[in-house]
Amino acid sequence: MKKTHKGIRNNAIGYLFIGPWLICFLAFTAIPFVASFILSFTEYNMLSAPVFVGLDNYKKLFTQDDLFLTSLGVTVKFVALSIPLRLGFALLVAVILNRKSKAIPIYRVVYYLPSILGGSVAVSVMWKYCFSKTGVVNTFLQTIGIPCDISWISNKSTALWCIILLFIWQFGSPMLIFLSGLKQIPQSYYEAAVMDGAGPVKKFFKVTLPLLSPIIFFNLVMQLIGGFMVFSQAMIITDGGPMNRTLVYALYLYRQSFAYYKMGYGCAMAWVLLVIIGFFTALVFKSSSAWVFYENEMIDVKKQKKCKKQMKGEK
Amino acid sequence: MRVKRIASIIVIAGLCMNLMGCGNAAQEEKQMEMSDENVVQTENNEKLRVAWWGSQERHNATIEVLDKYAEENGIEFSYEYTSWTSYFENLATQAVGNNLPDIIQMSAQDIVNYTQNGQLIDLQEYIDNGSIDTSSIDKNSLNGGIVNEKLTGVTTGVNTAAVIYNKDIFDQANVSYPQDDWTWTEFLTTAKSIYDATGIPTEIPFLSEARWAVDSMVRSYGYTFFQREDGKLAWADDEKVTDGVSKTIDAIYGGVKEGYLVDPEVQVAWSTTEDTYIAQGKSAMSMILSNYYVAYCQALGQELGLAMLPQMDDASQNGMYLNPNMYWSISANCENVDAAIKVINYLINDPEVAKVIGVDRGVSLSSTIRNDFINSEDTDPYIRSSIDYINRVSDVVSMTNTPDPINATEATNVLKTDYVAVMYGEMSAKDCIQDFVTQTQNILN
Repeated sequence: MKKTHKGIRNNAIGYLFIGPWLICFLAFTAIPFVASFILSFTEYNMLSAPVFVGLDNYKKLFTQDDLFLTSLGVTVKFVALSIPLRLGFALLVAVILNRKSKAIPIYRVVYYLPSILGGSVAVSVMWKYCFSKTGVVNTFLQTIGIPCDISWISNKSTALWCIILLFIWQFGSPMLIFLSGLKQIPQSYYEAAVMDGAGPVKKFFKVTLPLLSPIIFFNLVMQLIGGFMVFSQAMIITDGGPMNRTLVYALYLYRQSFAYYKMGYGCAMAWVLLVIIGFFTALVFKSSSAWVFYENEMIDVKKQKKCKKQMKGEK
Repeated sequence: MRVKRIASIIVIAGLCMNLMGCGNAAQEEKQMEMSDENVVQTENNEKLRVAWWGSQERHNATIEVLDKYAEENGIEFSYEYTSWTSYFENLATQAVGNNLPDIIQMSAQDIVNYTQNGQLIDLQEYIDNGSIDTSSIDKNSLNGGIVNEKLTGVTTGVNTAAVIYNKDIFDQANVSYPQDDWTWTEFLTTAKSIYDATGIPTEIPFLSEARWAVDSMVRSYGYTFFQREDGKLAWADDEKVTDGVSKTIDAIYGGVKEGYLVDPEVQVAWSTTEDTYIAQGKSAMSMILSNYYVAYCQALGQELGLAMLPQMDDASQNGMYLNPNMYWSISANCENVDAAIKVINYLINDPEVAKVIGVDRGVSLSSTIRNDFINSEDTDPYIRSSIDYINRVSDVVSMTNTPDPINATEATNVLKTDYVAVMYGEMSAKDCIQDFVTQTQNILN
């Protein structure tokens, strides 16, 4: 009796500690999550009570809405281009920064800064001016002798690239994760590789990349999820234009929900997005067995083989 | 295997952290909103919440006049003001929580939705019993606030479309100023001759909101953009109109190709007044909504000429229209309607308020206030010209537009995108109109 009482008290203290998080989680994540699922089966304009319409929203989305496919296409293109580039760039910088020097912490801060600033509205606005016809980018290109006077953000073939570029520029957090991953690779492997006559390129591809693959996997999944949810950059820099070339999925979802008062439809779109993200994440997880290597796992496999051999020998 | 599990735990933990991040951002936003709410304290416990969107100038002017009212009448206000972009988001969220402000600045695009869902009260009886003084207001022009036979918004002022032109550039090119009864062909030839003489282009008409251009075009043939009775596009069935509109849009694209209209890639990227060529003295003409006229003049630092939108070449009628610029509405959950009515009456009729606010919310409907502006010597010359222009337009058209039907924003967005596509050379003018009409029928249903 006394014991359980103590247990409850212990638990209570525990709940007290996670309370702030728990309340936020319920208020901003769990409840909206459930509510949006229910609302996706309704017609809801936020000004009067929702009306149940069954699967109508989903039907309309898949059969009548051209912009749904347009925006999905834009988003997939965005993710397919920006995520590999962002990760590649982050890895490149991480490898460069992975050395012993007193200036490294400063570099780390410098390269991480864009990620802190990047999501903010101010940077998007700055980006917009940099890539306008009379912006810094064109002025720079002209001074180095490239005659260039296109308006990057409103040219139909470069507009999406402006947003991709801003996304790549915010490579800080995957870079930090890569950096910590690089630090965990034992120096002895490199030494052994050098003994076997491996050059820097071979060292990178044969030692660094395989040992870093769990980190790459983690980063890929995280960035993939983030990439599908890109919103503020597209909203501020191009507002979906020109001609819906940068109308990313989240922006279209936002417009349907808030500008057109179709919250139910917007919720349905959000759930479709969840399924799409889930699908791609599952794809990455499935493929991981082919390219992600875990150090101890390899040893396990070798041990298993050895055991088998031994068993065969015994037979 | 264990490491794999650890990896997936890390992924999940990361996800949760991300979500936490979102939560925090939302909270911060909320806090910022809270700080926007300035509470004016008085001893009386009557309290009214007033919400509006606008620029910093509008915030300052509105707070100034309301503070003054609060002091004189012993009432307490709480102000909820934001920029246009987040305004209706906030309002919709408040509507969900049955927590709408008492007095709401409403837009012509959104008033239908709020009225049909019973969020706004009918103000007709307060106009009939004189609580809102309309003795100096033409009754017709109040019709702009009628939705489903209920007057749920008192028009703050009217605006209309206008061509603004830089007189210096016209003089330099030795081209005569535009007349109010000019045609689209004349508009384009004027732009071309100025470009030929000076190399200065003219802005593409309403690239940022094609609806205003097409609106005036269909009016030239005697239609309204959305039919008054059922909100449908009645003009779309008349071949003469669709032909005329697509020909005119095609002619505008001709100007883009020849280079005497501004490059659409440049123009589409503009967002503020200062971005535009007309405000920098780098274009000869531009088409705008008249309530922005003062801002453009101030940005340029000199007075711009005002002319009406061109007429269609094969139609005799003038295509001009008057729009209710925005409304003052009272929400259904307002507990002190009488006090709120008094505030609205003060805002639309008080001459001191008009002096502070100017024509920021459109040119006042009240003839007394308009005359005050015209007769007073210290009236800003830009304000004087815009009132003069509205008076000129009022002589030609008398009816004020009714609010747009539900889902109109989505429909006009289609037109906007297609119109830009025409200017980029991606779509024919005919397809643009066709696509807009078919999509609108779907959207409005």
